[in-house]
Amino acid sequence: MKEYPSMLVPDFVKEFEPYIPSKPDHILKKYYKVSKLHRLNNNENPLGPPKGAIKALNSLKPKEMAIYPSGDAYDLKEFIAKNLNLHPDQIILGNGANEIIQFVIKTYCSQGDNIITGDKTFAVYEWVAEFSGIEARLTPMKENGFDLDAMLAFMDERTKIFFICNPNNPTGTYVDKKTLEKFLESVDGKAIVVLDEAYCEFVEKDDFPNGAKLVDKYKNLLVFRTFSKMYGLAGLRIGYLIGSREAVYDVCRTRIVYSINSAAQAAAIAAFGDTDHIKKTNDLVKTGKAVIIPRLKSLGLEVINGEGNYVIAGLPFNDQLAYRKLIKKGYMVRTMTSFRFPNHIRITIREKDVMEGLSTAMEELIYEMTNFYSVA
Amino acid sequence: MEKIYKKIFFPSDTILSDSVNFVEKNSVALGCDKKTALKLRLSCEEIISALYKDNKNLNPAEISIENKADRTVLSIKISPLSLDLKAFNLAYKPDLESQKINNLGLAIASRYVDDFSMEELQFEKILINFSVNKKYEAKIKDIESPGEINFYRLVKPSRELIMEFGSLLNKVYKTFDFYPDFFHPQRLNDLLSFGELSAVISVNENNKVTGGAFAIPTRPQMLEFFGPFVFSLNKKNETAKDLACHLLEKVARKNYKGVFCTFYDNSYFPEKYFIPTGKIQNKNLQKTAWYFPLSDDEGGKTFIHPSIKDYVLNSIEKQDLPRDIHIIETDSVPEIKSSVLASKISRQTKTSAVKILLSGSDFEENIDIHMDYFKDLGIENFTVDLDLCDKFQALASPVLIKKGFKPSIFLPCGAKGDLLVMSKTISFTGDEN
Repeated sequence: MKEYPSMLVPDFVKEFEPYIPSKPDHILKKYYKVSKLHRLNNNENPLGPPKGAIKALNSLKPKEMAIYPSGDAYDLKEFIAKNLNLHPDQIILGNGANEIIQFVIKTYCSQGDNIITGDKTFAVYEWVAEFSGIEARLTPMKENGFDLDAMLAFMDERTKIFFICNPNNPTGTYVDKKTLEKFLESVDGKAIVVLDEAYCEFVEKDDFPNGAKLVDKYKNLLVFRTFSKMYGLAGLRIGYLIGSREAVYDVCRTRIVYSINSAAQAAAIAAFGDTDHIKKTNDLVKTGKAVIIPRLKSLGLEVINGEGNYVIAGLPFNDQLAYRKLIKKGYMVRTMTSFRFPNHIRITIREKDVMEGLSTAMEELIYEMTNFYSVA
Repeated sequence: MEKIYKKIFFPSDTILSDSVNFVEKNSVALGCDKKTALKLRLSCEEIISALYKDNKNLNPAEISIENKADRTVLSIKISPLSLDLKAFNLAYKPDLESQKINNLGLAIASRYVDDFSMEELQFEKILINFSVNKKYEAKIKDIESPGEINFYRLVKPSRELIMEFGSLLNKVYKTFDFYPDFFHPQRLNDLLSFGELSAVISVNENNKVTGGAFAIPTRPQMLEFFGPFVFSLNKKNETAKDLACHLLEKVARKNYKGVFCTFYDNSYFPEKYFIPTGKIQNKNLQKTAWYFPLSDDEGGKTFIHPSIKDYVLNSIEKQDLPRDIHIIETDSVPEIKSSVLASKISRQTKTSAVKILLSGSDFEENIDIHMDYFKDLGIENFTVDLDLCDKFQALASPVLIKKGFKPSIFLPCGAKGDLLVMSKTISFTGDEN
């Protein structure tokens, strides 16, 4: 048998190590010998999807799965457009926001171009750019938020896209409406500005910008949203893009059609705009934060809390170690070295009793580790 | 250009000439200078002559010559049979009266080169590696320091940026005392080109380098972290912190157990991200060694002699490492008599680093011989690495304690075996500190 032709892989691709996702819960439970595992690692909604979406999923007929879904999620697109007071041609659906990031980078970037984003944000912008041979310019965060002045300072004639995660995952900071508009004026249509609003439904601040209302004014603005977080449909992988008709037409040039399955389309229509579900979820997040944050602070830990259904805790020891010790207590958190926050963990906010249990587990952990350190 | 040439040589009347010609021809083909090619040829010649001198060895020898980033490596896979491995010790002195004159060749072979290592393989084979380092003699470009900066961003280094970073590193940190050539820009660039160096560089708006940090594998399963180094006059702490966070993220998905760091600037090193794992010390310097685990520790077996029990157990507890601990009270010794030690010496920094390649019952005698040899060369700082997964290496600890060594750095490697570095420093006059 001939050898595998690894020389076919371009050098810039060889620089990447494969991303290994965490193992399924049943494997982790067995490995760590725990009967119950609370998932606090992926910012999933513990309430699950809205009732309407559950009903829509239950009404699916297995036999209909033999039929291809609508190639561009026609009905869903019309529905979202109507609700957001936009034209359907201003919307593109994708298999999760990750796929939409790929569409946008493929549309606007060619070899020698660059994108600009923060260095402690959702990593997929950077990854997709670099997999595609596009330079990702990363500016350090300022007080855990995007430093828009630094981003502008590194803009040049080859800068094609700015990515701003608003509110930012993982820090929860956000760019307010006034600052965003000032930034858009400064960019002056010379590059695309992507506003990733994956967590926008969790924000209840008056000065938080609604990107969908700005796309007609700023033709270079694209907005990403997802059904994975607030709408609890992460398992179905569905997200969307909003932009001016001109911009959306261009992005459609590189779009892959038929990538959103029928179940996702049906559930998303039923879920979209369910204000009761949004309120319940936000109440749960508020209650959960009210439990966990004071307990973390009372342990002397740094807490990075902003908008969104998550908080970050800074630890006086390694995050891998915290992960192992907490999972043995039944709580799976997100280690943050991969977000360039070594010795930090990100905690998804869940029900009050889960947050109380985690707080106790954190107290035990800090007590154990402080004892070790005081010996040293 | 090819990076490796490999061939199997079967015993024959011409095995010596065939193998040395192969080594010489291909070292030249790999771009080695004549001196390096000659060193590798002579090393091969000594091994093959000693191995096949009496025509009793019927096993083949597999020889490869490989171009690595900053060195050329000759590897010889053999069945040693009657080969006296003891002769590979750097401090070995052949006993001319006992007619073991052939061993002189082996001893010389290990001294021809900059690095010598040996590992036991399956089926009673061993792999012997001889490395000759590339020489970096080109004058380092004088680059203006960045001064005050407004903004910086973090980048993966290109060839140009790593060269600029290397030049600034040599300029700003020229007082650092280290192995010759270690920070030469061309060497850093070679390591980068061969994928042996992970680095993050910070640049200002004009794409001028303002700082950087890098990591290279220097021990099995372990990366050594260098930096962060900041060259701008302001934003030092922020830059250092960002460089460290970026580099840790970059190496976190690589297949290493952790990173350790002993080479950094005290004034802005972001200690809070790292675990103190011991001290390095030499005559002029005492510094904390820092560690950062890159993967969850899967647990493993650790042998501990009572002489180092407190130190090792404390290190294990501190990092909450799952360990199957075996306290070895017995003074059992390896069946093999002759131990083999790999040694690295820097006359510039007056340091020696020893690894046990083969445990033997003569370890105490062997380490004494090595220490005397090092002292004659003016060496003042000695370290010995012990793999605590290996019972006989763990048993070397009481011997080293007796010789004045102390446990200084503990590097956890899970199932691969924790590494304990024991060190000793003597004063210029030879008095022990």
